[in-house]
Amino acid sequence: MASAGSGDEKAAAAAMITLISSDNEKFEVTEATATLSQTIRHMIEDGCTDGGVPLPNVTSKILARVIEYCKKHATAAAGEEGSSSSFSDAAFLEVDRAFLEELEEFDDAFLEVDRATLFDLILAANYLDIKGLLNLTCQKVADSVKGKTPEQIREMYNIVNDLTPEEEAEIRRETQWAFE
Amino acid sequence: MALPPPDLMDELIEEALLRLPPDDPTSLARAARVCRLWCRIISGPCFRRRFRDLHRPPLLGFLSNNSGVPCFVPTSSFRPPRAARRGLRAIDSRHGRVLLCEDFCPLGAWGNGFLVWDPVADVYQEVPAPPRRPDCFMRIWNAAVLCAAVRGGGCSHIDCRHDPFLVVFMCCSGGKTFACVYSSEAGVWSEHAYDYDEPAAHLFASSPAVLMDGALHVPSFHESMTTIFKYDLATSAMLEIDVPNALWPQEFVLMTTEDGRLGLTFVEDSRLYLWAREADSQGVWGWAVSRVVELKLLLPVDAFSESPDVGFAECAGVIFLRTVNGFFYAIDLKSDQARKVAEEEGTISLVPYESFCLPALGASSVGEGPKAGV
Repeated sequence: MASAGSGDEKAAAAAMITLISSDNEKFEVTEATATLSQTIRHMIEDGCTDGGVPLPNVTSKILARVIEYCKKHATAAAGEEGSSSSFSDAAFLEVDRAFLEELEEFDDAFLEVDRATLFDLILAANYLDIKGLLNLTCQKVADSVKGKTPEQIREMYNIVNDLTPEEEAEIRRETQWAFE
Repeated sequence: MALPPPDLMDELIEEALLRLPPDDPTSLARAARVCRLWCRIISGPCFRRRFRDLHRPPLLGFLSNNSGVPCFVPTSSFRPPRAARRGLRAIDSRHGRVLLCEDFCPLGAWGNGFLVWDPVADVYQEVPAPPRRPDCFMRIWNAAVLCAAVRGGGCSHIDCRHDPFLVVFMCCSGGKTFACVYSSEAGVWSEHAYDYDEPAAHLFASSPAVLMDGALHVPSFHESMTTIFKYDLATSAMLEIDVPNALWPQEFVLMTTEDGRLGLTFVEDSRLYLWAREADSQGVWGWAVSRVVELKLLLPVDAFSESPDVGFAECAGVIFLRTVNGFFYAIDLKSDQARKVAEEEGTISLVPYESFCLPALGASSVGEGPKAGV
């Protein structure tokens, strides 16, 4: 960081956190973005982020996507705080609604990933404790299971059926109405 | 390339399965048949507890009383394993159970007792007839089924279908109003509790009672006036609440507002009126219009009738309307959306049914009975 930088730039630089992926790639993010992760928030509170935060469970490919999510949602959170003071109520509501719609569109587009990436995102959201991302990705899995037969679900997720024919018949009997 | 699921830890598969919608129990039942792990998760006590914490008991459908056949009309993917028995009428439903009586019986339908039906578990329990008074006919009555813990507390009623229940029988006879309570634990009816203070009996409407603050509320007609009869389950006290707008007992249904007050709803001039009890600045309780829903904006033009049948589902906050062309519409009070749910000709009355429906995987699971996690 250049020593000639102004005070504001220094403050901004001080609020940057470096995240290090499992394949050793470094990502500079603002504290506001990073603290959407409860795991990182606790590390910041404990003063353990000097020299970067190693994330041995998250690849650079997935970390880039997670940061993309956090940036967007951190901006949304900041936008809500900022706009309340500078707009009238009606204008604020309008901005709020547009913001939520934009965020929804972002989330929809964000989930346009293959199943392997989706699972990796769930694992990362769980490890980094990002509630919004965990909810979003788990809901996507639930939506993909909804309305499918057991056979379709197995095929979709490469699941081997390890139930014995007797066990399967028993479940079928106990939930007969679901299979008619 | 898709990753095989073992790469998602068990608790993350659980996180995903928890988000299956509660009004789509078919999806849960099918997911339980995918593999051993998924079956174990869905039948486990932790999953069942968290699922109930995350969602509200969904509206699974309603019982439509149709000339001696209480027909289950689904509003969800749930279907009862067997249709309700013939020759019966649904009177009330609460806490996952439906109260049925004979549709025709010389003694006034209750004379051969009641049946308490759990449509999810497909279990019927017989309740004997309430004690008869020899000197009168007991033709005007209403009855309700509820979880027995209403009297003792300690139950959230989120999923208590398997717990002991009460049947409350309220009747007017020989110019007097009385009530008695059947306990499934004791297997007997209580003594009649009489309303000695009142000079005349209550003529109960047949619409389902509303349970609020440990008391049942039923529209009734008393001394030339429409009132709401209130029966306190803990004290057996019988009280009256006035009704706004000179309504007849059969013209409105009682409901609970989202913030837990007593409300009522009726249709007039193609508007749905919602009233709620309110205390004024002196602390005196009265009625106030809380909302008016323009049905013309929600329903097709040809759907109106002067006095459509109205029903209310407590947990889901949904009002049912039967319109002139025989269709049933469910009006969601939160979203102000109406959707057509069924077409049932000849329906006399309807009783909404709300309950969680988690697959009961007894023998096939890891030994978790249906009571697991309660």
